[in-house]
Amino acid sequence: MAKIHTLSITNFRGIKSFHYVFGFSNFVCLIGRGDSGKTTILDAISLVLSPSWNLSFYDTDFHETNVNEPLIIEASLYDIPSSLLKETKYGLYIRGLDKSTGAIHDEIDDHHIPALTIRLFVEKDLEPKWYIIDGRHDNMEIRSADRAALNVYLVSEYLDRHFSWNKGNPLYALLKQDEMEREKKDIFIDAFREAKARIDESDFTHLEMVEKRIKTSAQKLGIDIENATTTIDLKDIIIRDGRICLHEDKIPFRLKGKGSKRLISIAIQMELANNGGILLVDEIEQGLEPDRAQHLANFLKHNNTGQVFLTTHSSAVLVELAAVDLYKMVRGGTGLFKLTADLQGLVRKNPEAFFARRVMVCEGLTEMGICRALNNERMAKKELSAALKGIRVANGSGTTLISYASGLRQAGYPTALFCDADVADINNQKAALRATGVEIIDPEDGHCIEAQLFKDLPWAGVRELVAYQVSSSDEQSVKQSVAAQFGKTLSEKWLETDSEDLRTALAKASCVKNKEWFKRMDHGEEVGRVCFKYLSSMPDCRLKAMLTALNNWFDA
Amino acid sequence: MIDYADFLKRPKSLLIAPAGYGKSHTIITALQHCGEGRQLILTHTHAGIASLLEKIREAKISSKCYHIETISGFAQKYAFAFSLPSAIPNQQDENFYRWVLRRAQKLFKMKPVQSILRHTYTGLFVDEYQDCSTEQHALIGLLADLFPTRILGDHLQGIFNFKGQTLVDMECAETMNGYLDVSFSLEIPQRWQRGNNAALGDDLKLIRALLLQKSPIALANFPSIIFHQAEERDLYDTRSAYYKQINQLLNEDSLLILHPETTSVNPRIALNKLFKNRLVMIESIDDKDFYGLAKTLDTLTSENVSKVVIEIAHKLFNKTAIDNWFNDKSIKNKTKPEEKAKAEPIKSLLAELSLQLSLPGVAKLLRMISDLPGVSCTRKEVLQCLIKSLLNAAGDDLSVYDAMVLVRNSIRRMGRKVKGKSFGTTLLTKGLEFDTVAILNAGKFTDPKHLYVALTRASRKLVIFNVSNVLTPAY
Repeated sequence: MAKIHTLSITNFRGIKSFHYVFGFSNFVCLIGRGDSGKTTILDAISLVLSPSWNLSFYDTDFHETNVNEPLIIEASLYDIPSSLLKETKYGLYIRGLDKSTGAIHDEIDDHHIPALTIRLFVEKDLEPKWYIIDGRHDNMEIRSADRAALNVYLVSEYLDRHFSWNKGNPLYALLKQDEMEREKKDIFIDAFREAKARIDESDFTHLEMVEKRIKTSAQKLGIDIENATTTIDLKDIIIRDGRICLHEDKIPFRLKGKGSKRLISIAIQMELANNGGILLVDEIEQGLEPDRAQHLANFLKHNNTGQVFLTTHSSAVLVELAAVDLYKMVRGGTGLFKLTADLQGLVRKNPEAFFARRVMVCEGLTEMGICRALNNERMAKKELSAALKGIRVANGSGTTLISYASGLRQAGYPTALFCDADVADINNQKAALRATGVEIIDPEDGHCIEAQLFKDLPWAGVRELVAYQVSSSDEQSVKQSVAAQFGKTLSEKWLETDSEDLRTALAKASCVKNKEWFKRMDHGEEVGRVCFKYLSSMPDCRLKAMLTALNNWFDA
Repeated sequence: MIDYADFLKRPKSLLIAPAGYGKSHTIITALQHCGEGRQLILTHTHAGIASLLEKIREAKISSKCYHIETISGFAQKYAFAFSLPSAIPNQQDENFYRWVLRRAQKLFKMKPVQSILRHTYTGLFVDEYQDCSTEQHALIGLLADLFPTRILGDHLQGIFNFKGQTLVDMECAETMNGYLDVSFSLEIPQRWQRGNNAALGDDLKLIRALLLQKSPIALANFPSIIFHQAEERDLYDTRSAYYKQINQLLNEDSLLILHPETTSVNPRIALNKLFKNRLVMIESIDDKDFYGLAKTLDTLTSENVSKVVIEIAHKLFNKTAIDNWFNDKSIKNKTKPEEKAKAEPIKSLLAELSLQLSLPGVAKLLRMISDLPGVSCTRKEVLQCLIKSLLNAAGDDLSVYDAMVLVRNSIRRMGRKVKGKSFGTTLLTKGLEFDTVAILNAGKFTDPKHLYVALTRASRKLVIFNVSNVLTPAY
């Protein structure tokens, strides 16, 4: 039971200060680059709502090991188990959650729903303390048994304990839910008592001589241990519920493969979550094939009655989810960026962009190819590659590129847009987009990228591009299509002389609908190669400015 | 025997339970019939809680099945829990209790708070309903919307009257909407049948019927009641039969004498002096003398200690004896050896205190004065509370007044044991029972409810003094 509405973290591991209102989301997928703090958030949730009566904390759990400041994790919950809402429990400590505004108030009002805020507080002494807090009372400690009623479990790497019946484990919680119907029996202890009785009867004659010596010796000291015999101490064989775990045939589940273990563990917890509960899954794809990871993510999304928090680095998982399920964490960030619904297309087509540090949204495949060429160029010069810089180049798919770029920007990604300038409607939106911090790299007004290329490239470069086009079709058809745009027939040596008219005709010929010369990634890559080859010999022009801006943005 | 199943399942039910008819027993039996969940039991006084709790525990009812609290305590718990500290008025504020009730009413109308109440309780009992103010009645009405609510009480005993608050009118159909659909009532005067005076119980039942019919009560018709024809003024004449009869009664162990005057303590103080302070005055929790005298003690200095202590002695003890031992300034010089032996320690203590004042010293001084030969205390409870407040004030570094507030509040909360020979009024003895009760000037109990409460305090012997043997309350 219970769902997290608001989470605050102070001075915990990689997080100096964090505050986020999840509101009424039941499915939260945290994304972000490695070390951004996603797992820290899951750990924070599992700690503040932990059913353990005591947990070990270390100096390293404090942000930058600063133990002079307290480590504080605070979760405000709603949909609270009714057992905790009694006057005798924490009923008098509820706060009012306003469903319409999402704000939590200390002064209750009729239209509020009950919320409880739990605070985990650890100071220098490393003793964790859990309190219920509100703005009206002194802090009230909350017992571990009561926290257990919240049903929070973390599926992480160390989940072998999930298959044992220990207190505080999910199987135990399931047992407790079920126990009302069944009479509890200590079958384990009874079985061991029986075993001991049988050991007691066995023969320990090989120890008799030693026993005898001790008896004699003891007698001299005035102690009669004549009836002493040797057998096993019950304490040494007794095994409590904690040691009893799930097996398949005779093989314990803990010896199963990682992916299977995680799936079984999740299954156990889904059972618990039937009554509502919070399931935390770190790196959902771990140990699973992409299709199984997708299935799992999809299943969790549509079959949970509680709340699920997961993290992923898998684009396979991402395409399975809706953009609004995604929350981006930035290293050192104080909150999360929730993705908006208009990024849905981008999630489907460019899921990788969401794992990037920075994103370059491109008009289409040509621009993406140019970026790839830039990357090749940089690697050749032993400069940092896009991957190392955490840059992802994404396809803006033409008309949606403005909304993609602005959505990514809002989601906290440093974003650049590499696009044409030949559609007035899009040009009109660029100023507003720039104002949000998106860097726009585009040709002169009214130009598409090809127009700018053929306008600004040195003639030798122009000829290389034509030669490339010729290589992928034939000279005759290229010449014909240029001539069609040129308006008059072309001489034998039509490529010998540079002229403005010819450049214009080339540009137009390269963009004829459905016969575009460069609208493929590999074509774009060649265009880029040519551009960067002639960059240094280019006079000041728009193309040079664009290519320089592109390179600078990669460097930033 | 009432139909418990019906009584418990109705959204609202009312049980008319006259004094001594086994109301506590009924609550306990009802609790045993309640089944799953926790029942909330509300009453008015901590004394009421204590006596009910004792019986509930005797019946071995699991503490998970009930929660018992005073109405004000319960309202205050919620009012405090859901208010920002800055919004909570000072407890000494005269509007404090009104604020508590109003705030609780407001809260009990809010869904989140209602959900807490519903999660915690499955039903409600309210005891001594006749003592509910109209504000408290409104509060209970809000709780009654949440779970089955059973109220128990007797409108004939509705005499509590705190500072201007009006009591709920249990006979008003509109006010009691929903409660009067079916009537549940207890019919057997249990208290008098348990080896006490069964005939008295039966007579009181008949008198109850007369009071409800608004008829005069001819005492001659009730042989179990002892009636003495007596003029009021004779009480102050030590040679009169009235005086002698009372003096005779003072030999009884469990005795309550009831005086018709409820607004002032002075007539009882005067009478008690006349009877050599042999009666223990039952004091009102908030009698102003407790606080007035505490304030006087707060003016103590080493210079004025004799003067202040003598002034207080005059208020607490019989005048003749104090005048015998003290002059205006200090204790008199006594020559008789036995008197000198008593006076000397007081004299040296006074000398000590005038050098260095100490509150425990003053407390000791008051005790020594009360032990002097011939000295009797008119206000034993006032004396005890003053001594306690002096000691607490010294120990906790408080003013005597603040210490007194705490002492009185704790008595208010914990209740008090009233035993022996007591002198009280109906308001002060409601809910108490004594073997023998004497009612002074019974004709002056003009309110039928006060008269009924007075009559039903006696479990074995009831003595009535009046000019006429027919009582006609002002109906």
